[in-house]
Amino acid sequence: VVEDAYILHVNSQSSLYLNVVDVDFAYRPGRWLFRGLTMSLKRGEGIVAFAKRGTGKSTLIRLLVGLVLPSAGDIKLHERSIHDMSLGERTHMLSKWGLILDNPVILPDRSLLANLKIVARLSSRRDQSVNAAAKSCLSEFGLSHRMTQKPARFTEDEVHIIQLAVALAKTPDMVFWDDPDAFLGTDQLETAIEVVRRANLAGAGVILTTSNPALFDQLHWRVIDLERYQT
Amino acid sequence: MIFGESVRLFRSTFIASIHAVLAAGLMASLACISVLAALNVIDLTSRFRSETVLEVFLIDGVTEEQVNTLAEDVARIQGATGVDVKSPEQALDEMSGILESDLTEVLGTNPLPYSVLISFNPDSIGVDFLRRTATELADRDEVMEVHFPEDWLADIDLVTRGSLVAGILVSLLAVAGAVFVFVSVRRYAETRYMSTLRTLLLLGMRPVTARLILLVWGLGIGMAAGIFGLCVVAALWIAAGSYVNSFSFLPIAAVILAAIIPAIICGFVCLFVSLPHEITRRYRPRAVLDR
Repeated sequence: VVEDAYILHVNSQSSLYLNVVDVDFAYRPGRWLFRGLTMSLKRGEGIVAFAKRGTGKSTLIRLLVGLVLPSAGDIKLHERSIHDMSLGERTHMLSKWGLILDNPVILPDRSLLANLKIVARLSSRRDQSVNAAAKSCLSEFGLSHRMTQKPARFTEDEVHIIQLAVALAKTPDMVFWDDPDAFLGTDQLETAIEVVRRANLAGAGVILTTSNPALFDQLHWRVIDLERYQT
Repeated sequence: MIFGESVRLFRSTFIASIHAVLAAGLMASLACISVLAALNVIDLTSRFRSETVLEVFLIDGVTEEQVNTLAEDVARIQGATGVDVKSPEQALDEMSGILESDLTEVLGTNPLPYSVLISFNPDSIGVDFLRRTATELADRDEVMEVHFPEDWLADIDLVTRGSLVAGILVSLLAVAGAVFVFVSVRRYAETRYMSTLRTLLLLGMRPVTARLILLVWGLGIGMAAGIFGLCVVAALWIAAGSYVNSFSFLPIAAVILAAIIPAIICGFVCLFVSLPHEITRRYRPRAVLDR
């Protein structure tokens, strides 16, 4: 009952989506990755989090989606502390989000269509609309004819694009995009950025991590320099 | 989706799943055979017991009224199913018939007393009960002595109890063996399926749905094992043919239980499946003291 009430609460919210309050994080005691990290995101807003390679970009995404917990401080989703959320609540949030991670969030042994069918079920959307959205995204990269193939048959950059298509196909509230320039070539990156920007304009909040300052100019989003929070 | 994923899990762990079905099925058949043996031993001993008769011999000179009173009293004993009163003449005639000679001529007089034969419901009597009843009857004035095959019944009781205990023990051992095998197979399936579960949970699958996938997989394996076990028992029964035709097969309730119990056990084992730690047990750094 509490979980359902919370889900209703989440669905009715529209203002402040994500609030990171004075977060410290270290994988080992004393070896800080972040200290005093503070940021907030409203629905439909875009943020670029900048850091050098190997300095916590993926960890930031993992913190924000609740896969790791802060050592101190709090992360609030719709004013609800991430510490207090049950597993069911978190997976419900994940069904509304698009994750594009270094470790792909797709099933490699099933066709892209089969993956999309699962996404449609889990995000309570219609198969046709999810397929159409994914096809539209993939057509920008010339991959729309390969929807019956399994991700295992795609190259690493193509898998990243497939993740992007799967993430956007569910019309997510939030997109968490980890380090796209590490996987995509210049042309693919430009197209992908354009696709995500359109999703952002349509209302999806986006948090993108990168070590490439050139992306700032393309996106014109708020930039957070993660080095400010690193010791 | 749950059923589809369970079928996928079965396919992706096909060899291990079949191994689990065969191993658990053979264990189930072992349990069925021990139950079958125990039930038939109990049935057999019950048949022997049903032929048990308490013979009450009365004193010389007992009146017909005393005999009738005694017959009425014993008819009221708990578990008594029949009372047969034999006069000395009837007893002599029977004995003459058995020996094929006229004993009246040989003996001159009839030495046999009145006797009362009491038969019992085999399910409601034991040696202790018969011993107690015999003692009570022997205390009556009109009773000379009471006979029943005490040692034979004690042996039968021992065999009945022994076969029941052996049946239960073998069944428990078989269940323990099946659980041991299935836990290992479940662990293997869990590991094989972990990356898929991780992805499904990250795509937003509810944890309860993830658990249900493994539960349905476990129920399927358990049900298949139960049916396989029953088929093995039935095949052995048919193969035994004439050796077992005087015995009875498992009652329908036991057949249904044999099919359902492995499913329940395997399903129960799957309730304790662990989901990917990455999602369920978030990395939580130690508390910061030097902040």
